[in-house]
Amino acid sequence: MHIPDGFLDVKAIVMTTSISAAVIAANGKNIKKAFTEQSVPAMGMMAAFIFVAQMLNFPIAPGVSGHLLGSALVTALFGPAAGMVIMTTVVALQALLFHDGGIMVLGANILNMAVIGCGLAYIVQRLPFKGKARPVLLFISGWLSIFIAAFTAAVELGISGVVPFSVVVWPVLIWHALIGVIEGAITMVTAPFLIKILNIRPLRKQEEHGI
Amino acid sequence: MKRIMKFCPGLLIIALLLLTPFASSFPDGLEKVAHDLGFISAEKHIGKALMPEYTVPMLGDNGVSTIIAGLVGAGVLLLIFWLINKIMQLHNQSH
Repeated sequence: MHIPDGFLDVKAIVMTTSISAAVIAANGKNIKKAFTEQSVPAMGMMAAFIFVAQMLNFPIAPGVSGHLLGSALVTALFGPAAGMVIMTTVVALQALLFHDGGIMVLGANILNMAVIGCGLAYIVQRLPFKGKARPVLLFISGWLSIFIAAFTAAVELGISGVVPFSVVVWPVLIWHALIGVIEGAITMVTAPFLIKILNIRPLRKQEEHGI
Repeated sequence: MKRIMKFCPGLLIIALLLLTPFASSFPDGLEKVAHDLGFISAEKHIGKALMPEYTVPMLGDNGVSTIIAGLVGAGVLLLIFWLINKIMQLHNQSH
């Protein structure tokens, strides 16, 4: 999922970096609100959790692995604004310290995994279904976040001309549709558990009670 | 019970860290496609990473090296958010 340096051209780098920067800047107020109303140390714990969980590649087919993305998970816990900051911090650290994802293409990786991943997860999670449908929404938000993040990665590769979009899009989507099933399952199972052990009020409850 | 709960997240992260040496070494979805379609050769490394491929260069490529790299990464993230929290507290006090 992490695009390395060399895959994207200048045009794609400028486009993705400006979109990421614009979305994060436009959400300045929401980010401030999220950080003042919620537990910042708990966010740090989740950032560390996501980082370590992303190291745990699991095989999905012979010769192919996948790993948790975590955008949907942090969004379920802290909402999209704080989620975006958490994912951006993780992705930036991975690029700078570990060369997992390129440094020049950091803006693109932030766009795919932090901005689109969290934004999309939030849209799915806030759909007005209650009760037994909640876990299903969590599953779909996890699946869709990684699937669409992979799709935008394919678009960026296509724009850069490193490989034609029509050639790269299908294999990328097929693998990530599979990885997404694990992503959805982990999101669905661990979100309630993490909310409990981190002792936080999930954003959905805060919004329902108008706080 | 509450005191035990407090250590839960930390213990969970340590448990996951101990699993990292057993992670699959297969390429991930995007890497696999890059290999299959032959554009993996476009990959470049800009600058020098402190811990490339989640290993500490000094310790070589083994399980301990991976766990330590993971520990450092998780520690830096905790530190960043701890600092944000501290700065926000100081900021609130001054108002």
